Amino acid sequence: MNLSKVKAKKKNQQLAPQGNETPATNGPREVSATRGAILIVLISVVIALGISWWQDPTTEVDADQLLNRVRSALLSALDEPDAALRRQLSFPANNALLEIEPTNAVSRHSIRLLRCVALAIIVGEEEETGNIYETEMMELMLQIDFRQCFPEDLLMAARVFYMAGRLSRSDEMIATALMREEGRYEALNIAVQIRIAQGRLDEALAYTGELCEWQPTNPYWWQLRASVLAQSDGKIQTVKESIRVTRKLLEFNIPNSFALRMRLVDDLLKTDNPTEARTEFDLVKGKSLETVSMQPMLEAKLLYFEGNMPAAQEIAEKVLARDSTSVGARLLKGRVEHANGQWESAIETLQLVLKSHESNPEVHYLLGQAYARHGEDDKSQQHLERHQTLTDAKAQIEALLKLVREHPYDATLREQVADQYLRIGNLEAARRWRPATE
Amino acid sequence: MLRQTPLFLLFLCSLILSTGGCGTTDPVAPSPTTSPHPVEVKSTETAPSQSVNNNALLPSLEMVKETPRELQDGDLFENVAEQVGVDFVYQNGLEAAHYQLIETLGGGAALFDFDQDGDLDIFVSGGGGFSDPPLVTLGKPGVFYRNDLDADGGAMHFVDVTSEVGLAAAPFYSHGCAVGDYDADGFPDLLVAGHGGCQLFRNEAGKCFTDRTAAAGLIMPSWCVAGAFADIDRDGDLDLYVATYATWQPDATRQCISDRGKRDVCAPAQFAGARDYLWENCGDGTFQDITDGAGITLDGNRGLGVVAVDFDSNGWVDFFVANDVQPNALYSNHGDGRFESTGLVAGVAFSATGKMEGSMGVDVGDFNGDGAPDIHYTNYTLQDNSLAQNDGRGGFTQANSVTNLFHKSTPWVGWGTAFLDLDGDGWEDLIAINGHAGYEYQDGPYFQPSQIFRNQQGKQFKEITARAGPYFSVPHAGRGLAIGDLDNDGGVDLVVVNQNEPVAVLRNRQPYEHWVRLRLRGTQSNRDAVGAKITLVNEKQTLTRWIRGGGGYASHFDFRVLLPWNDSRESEIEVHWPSGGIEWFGNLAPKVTHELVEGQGKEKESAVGAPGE
Repeated sequence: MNLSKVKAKKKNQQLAPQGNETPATNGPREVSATRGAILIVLISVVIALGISWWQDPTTEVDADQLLNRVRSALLSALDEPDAALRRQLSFPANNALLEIEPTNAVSRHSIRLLRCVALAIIVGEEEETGNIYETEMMELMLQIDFRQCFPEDLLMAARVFYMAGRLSRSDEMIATALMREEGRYEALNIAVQIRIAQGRLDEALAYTGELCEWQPTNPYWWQLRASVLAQSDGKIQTVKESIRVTRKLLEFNIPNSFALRMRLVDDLLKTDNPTEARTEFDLVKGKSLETVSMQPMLEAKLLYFEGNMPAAQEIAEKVLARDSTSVGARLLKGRVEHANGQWESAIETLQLVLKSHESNPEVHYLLGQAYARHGEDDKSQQHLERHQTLTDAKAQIEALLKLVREHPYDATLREQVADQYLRIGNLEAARRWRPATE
Repeated sequence: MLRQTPLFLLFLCSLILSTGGCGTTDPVAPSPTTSPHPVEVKSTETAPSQSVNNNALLPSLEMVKETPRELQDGDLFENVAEQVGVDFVYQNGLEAAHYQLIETLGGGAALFDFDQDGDLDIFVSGGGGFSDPPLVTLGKPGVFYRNDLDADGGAMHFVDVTSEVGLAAAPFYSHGCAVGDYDADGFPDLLVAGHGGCQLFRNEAGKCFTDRTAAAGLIMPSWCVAGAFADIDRDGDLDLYVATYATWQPDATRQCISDRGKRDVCAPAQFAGARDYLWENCGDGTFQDITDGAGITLDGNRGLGVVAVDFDSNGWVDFFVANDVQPNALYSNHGDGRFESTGLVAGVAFSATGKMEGSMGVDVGDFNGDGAPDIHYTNYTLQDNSLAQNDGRGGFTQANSVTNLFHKSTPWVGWGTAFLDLDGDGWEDLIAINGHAGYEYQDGPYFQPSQIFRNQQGKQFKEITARAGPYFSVPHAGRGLAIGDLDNDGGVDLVVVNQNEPVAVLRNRQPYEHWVRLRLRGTQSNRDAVGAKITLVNEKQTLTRWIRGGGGYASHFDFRVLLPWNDSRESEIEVHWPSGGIEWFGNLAPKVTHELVEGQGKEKESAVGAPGE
């Protein structure tokens, strides 16, 4: 399975509202290959028949009906996890669209848009420069007024472009779709994914809020909201909302509630509520030791919050013995050593944390303090200054994010957020906030 | 493909449902005129067009559903305010519904022996209100209670003598108070701080007070909250540090929206902090502003609490300033007239994780018995109160996590605080007085329970609020806390100033069985011996206490030092005088107040040189 296939499958799964059904497990590779070969043959036949059917002069169908058939074909293509098959299914759709005579402006723009969808599937994620389909798609795109397109076509196009990693195009499409009442909730569903990919989590959060309000008994929307919250800024209001959403999800009796409860423990600790966190943790521990053992650092964190430093440190060291790259375990170890006044070991531990988390202000602060107590004033000063720079930048970012919440489409503000992240060396966040340029 | 089919079908269903197809109805489809986006909950910010119907509910005592439980045998404290004649209420003016920042700060109390008759009298600041718009803050008089304690150590009884002693005027909205014998005449003087400045009241031989503010040159057109008298230059008189809050003026049109989306008091961070003041006592009844020259450099610091002792053991008194939404300050006194801001390097500017806190009250004590002054300061909600352990050289380690105080106070907004040894075991316990600043904020209720933590052998703290007594069984809007032995029975009593609720006088029901009380009188040092360090060494432990300038929140604690005296054999007290001299005092009879006069003890070699050496 190539990378694009994996990505496409992942994105498909993200977009699809989930019911109680659980996907079947993977079959043996050989069976899949055989099934794939059979499918290719079948699809080729269907394509051949389809083209002839589309083109059959004796079949009296109007443009709208033809458009509907193309839509169905494209949706089928989208459902196909294999990129090669998706492409094969999209060629006839593209050809068929060339034959359809638009009856009005709406259908003209929709036909162009659907062609772009077909071409986007054909081009895939590679975006090869000079690819004739790519060039054709870009030229077509210039001729489309998204406001004139059918809502369902706009949604499909937004989804396809998102899946192809063309975020700015899908953003344009979804922004237009969101301005309409028709299809709003599906638009919101797709918009959430696009916003997550763009790092515009505040908007994704607002959209999921609307979806949960729309269908409060649909666990999928709550799961979606929970996933956005899990990636959000970690501010106290966000964490409190995450607790509320997790508790709501637990009411649905969905599978894997232990993992949910562990998330709840983590959130409760973030809101300084170790008592409730302990209750939830013990509940999981009593029923699923396996779940607990999979997240040893959560127990260490809980013990640390409860003031049981030796036990917390013991777990952290065990984790580090197994996995020396565990930053969480190392940071906790450093905190405990710092709190116990073990300056030399705290410095050693925290310097290791810094190697992978240079822009963590807490680590610089702790190092600044440790060096000061250890009599190394210059190093202390250096880390305390870095702590101040990072703290100031984070304050700036928070202030900017507040403005972004008020003006979510202001590219200049996003640019400024990206600049601040760049200033503190957080390239990943800077990249997410920089408006897409493709 | 088959594997994807159920998901795809669901996706299609969702598409169909959401586009309103198949005859389904959309129960909550947004109308075109309404915003489809949920309203983002914001923290405080200006919103001039906010409807008055959206005001936060103004708190009243009726909102406290719980009634205090009955007094039980093992309770530490009993509120005897009514029985002993204390019925004063600090008022913050909330009833006018102007939702002004000044309403959040509250007031404090001072416990000192005004008339030198051997017992503690009580001053409580009055607070204030507002004029009709355009708003101006107005003062309300404080109260002064004379303690008519039965000379034989019987029941305490307080008489309101506010007018008689000349404290009935209220030129400004008041908050804190500080006490110090600035003119060294043997009678403690009173400083009252508030919006618009401070008032310095000279104690006229225990008969009345006279306002000497203008004569002393203490002109501070600022929002003053608390003060600390201390002798910064060891010239034998008390200088004065005044903590100021913010550059703020009342404004009825300013409206701030809370995280509940309601009009509420504004967050302090919306207003720039103000410059604190350091006044040098010129020795002739006047003071000189030496703030800038002395290096009190943290401009705009939003100071609320201040305490003065020698933190770095260099023999010169330093200041710790608890700042709200600004780094806390530690000003280390170099002894040459210059202070250095060392809070960041010392580890008290920020929280244990390097985050800025909203700090309010502060006290100094020795929680682990190592002889170095540790700091406990109270913080805003979702921030632990902080216990900073001194390494003896003025460097601190935040010790919450190793003393079981981690996350014990995070739900509450802390104000008054004190180190006090409640059970006479020699280990200083901790008290924190709580109450939210805003009226209806999401992060905590307005009325909050106060807390007491018992010190377990200097290693861990354990919350014992449940057996603290009826006052602690219900929430209050607490602010200032003053501590002192009001009935001279060997137990430290508490006076708590609540917002718009009668002052609580909490009598200690478990006084020490054996004790001595020390009253220090400086001769070379300042007369109140502010900055002195007192050490009692007995078989089991070393007890260290300080005569601190300032401390608590907006309050003044009894200058006298009460020590448990468990050792039946003769023990000796070591006093490090602020002048630099060290003396030993012995042969102290139990259950008596001893006046230790500088120069009358057994002299020991001086730890640090005299000024100028």
